[in-house]
Amino acid sequence: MGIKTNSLLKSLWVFHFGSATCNNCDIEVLDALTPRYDLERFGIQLAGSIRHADVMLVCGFINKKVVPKFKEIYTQMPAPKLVVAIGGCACSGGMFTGSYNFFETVDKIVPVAAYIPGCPPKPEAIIAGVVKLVTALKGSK
Amino acid sequence: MSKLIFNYIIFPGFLFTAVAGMLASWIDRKVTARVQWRVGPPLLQPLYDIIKLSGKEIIVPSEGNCFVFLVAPLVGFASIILVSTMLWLGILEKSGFSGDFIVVFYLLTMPSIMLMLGAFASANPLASLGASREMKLVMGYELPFVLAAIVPVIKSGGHITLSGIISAQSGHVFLASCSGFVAFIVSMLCMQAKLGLVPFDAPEAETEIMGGVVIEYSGIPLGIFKLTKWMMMVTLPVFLIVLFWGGMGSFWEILKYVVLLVVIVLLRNTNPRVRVDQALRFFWGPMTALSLIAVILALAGK
Amino acid sequence: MNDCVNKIKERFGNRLNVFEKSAKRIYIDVKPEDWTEVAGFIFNDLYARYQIMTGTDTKDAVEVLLHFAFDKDGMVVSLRTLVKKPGCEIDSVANMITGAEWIEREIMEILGVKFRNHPNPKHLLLTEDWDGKYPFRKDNV
Repeated sequence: MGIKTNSLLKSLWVFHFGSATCNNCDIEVLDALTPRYDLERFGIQLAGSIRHADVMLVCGFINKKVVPKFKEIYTQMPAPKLVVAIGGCACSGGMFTGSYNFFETVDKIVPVAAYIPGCPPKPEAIIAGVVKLVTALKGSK
Repeated sequence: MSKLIFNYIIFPGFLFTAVAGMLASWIDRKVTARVQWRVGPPLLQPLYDIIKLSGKEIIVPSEGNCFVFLVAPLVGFASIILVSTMLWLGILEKSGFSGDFIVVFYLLTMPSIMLMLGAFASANPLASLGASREMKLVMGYELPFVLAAIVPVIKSGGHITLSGIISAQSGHVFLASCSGFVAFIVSMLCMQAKLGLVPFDAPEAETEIMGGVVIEYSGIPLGIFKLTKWMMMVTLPVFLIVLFWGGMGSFWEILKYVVLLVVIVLLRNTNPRVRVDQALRFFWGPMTALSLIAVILALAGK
Repeated sequence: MNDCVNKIKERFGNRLNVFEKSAKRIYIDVKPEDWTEVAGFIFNDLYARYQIMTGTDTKDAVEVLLHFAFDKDGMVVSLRTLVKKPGCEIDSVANMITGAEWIEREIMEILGVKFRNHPNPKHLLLTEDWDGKYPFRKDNV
């Protein structure tokens, strides 16, 4: 596996995107970045701007009003890029499927690399999902 | 001539300072992690960051100025390598020219100016906001820094070469005297602001929810900005050691640098961030007064 | 005790119908024509604090409520009116109470009540090209 892919997987910078979220998944993502669960030992840092990020964490479902902005932010991310869907609403729509403002699940708009289900997923589940993603990418590339 | 190229690129220029800068930034992150009761990143983490950034796509904003956007990081990078080369050659080989102290002073402002230029070339309102904050901060800390740096010149009897200042401290270091100690404290705090670390990192972190001055940068230019910041973490304390603590004669005197680095990191971890106007008032009020007192004490011979 | 409520009763007499659910929770029913006048009296002359507007759909009319708080007494006064369907129209209070501007936009698009003289009647939560159905109207089901 090349040195660039190896370095990418050891130093993932995440950007958090929450569109129509109840904010519980956001709180759990925040917990995963705090000292108790400490994602920085894997090299994962929170990036302030989308242009610095490698991974976009999507919490919450995508409603009709935010779809153009979501696509624009996805194109603003520099390649190589990954999207991770966190929580039941991002994976499959959750309880909002079929409601009046629901557009589509995330993976019909952008390609998703990993799904972390839960409502909300515990920080341990988020870490397990990240580790699985990194292992899978190491094996395939 | 080829010796100078070797000095600029390999030792003590680009390669040496880059490796030392990555080590210093790793020490900073590890100590921060330990202070926060967690494990930090592994040793090679800064290297992984830079290699990863070199593999990312470079995106240039279409409404900004492409040339300035791409060249600004390189100019800041080149000037900090030059400063490092001049400093280490002055310490190790006692070479230099008359007035190289002033040249180093000018070159040390280049990274901040290039950061501002790059932010203005980004065509992004948040970047302009960060750049205007950076301008205010630079206006704030340059004044007491220059005043504090006059003290070694006075005490060494008017030398304005780096090697002259080092050799004037061969008896006793300037830090041990009254004026030198006060000037050292002032320049330590100004250095904290110059490095862009808490409590004075308002320009680069106030809008950290969106990235501040480097919001539109991606790929290698961002890597160069980060590497410049890490190299400044190596170069600035060495500059202070040359001015006030007698240079680095033997190998054990690298401990002086380690002490300064630990003080910087501890200051960073124990303080909240101040607003730009509070920082400006701090630098133009107490700090300038203290540095003026130091200059007067130096002129009086203490 | 409720001398604010007494002042309201003195001023408007039998144009309104006061229901005291408890000492601290008062509902005042008005006709749609008196809406802005009573709201203006409570907001400007009695110095109540505006909280929020709410609404719900009933069989022949849409019920719109405007909630005020009297913090010194710990009392909440709700002004209630029934806006007849079809063609629900009522005067807007957004020119008097700036904080009501956004909630009136939301009620306009979600419940279908038209507020006359609203300064900015754009959609708030739904997209601009919404197909015109009001999501919280019960005849949609």
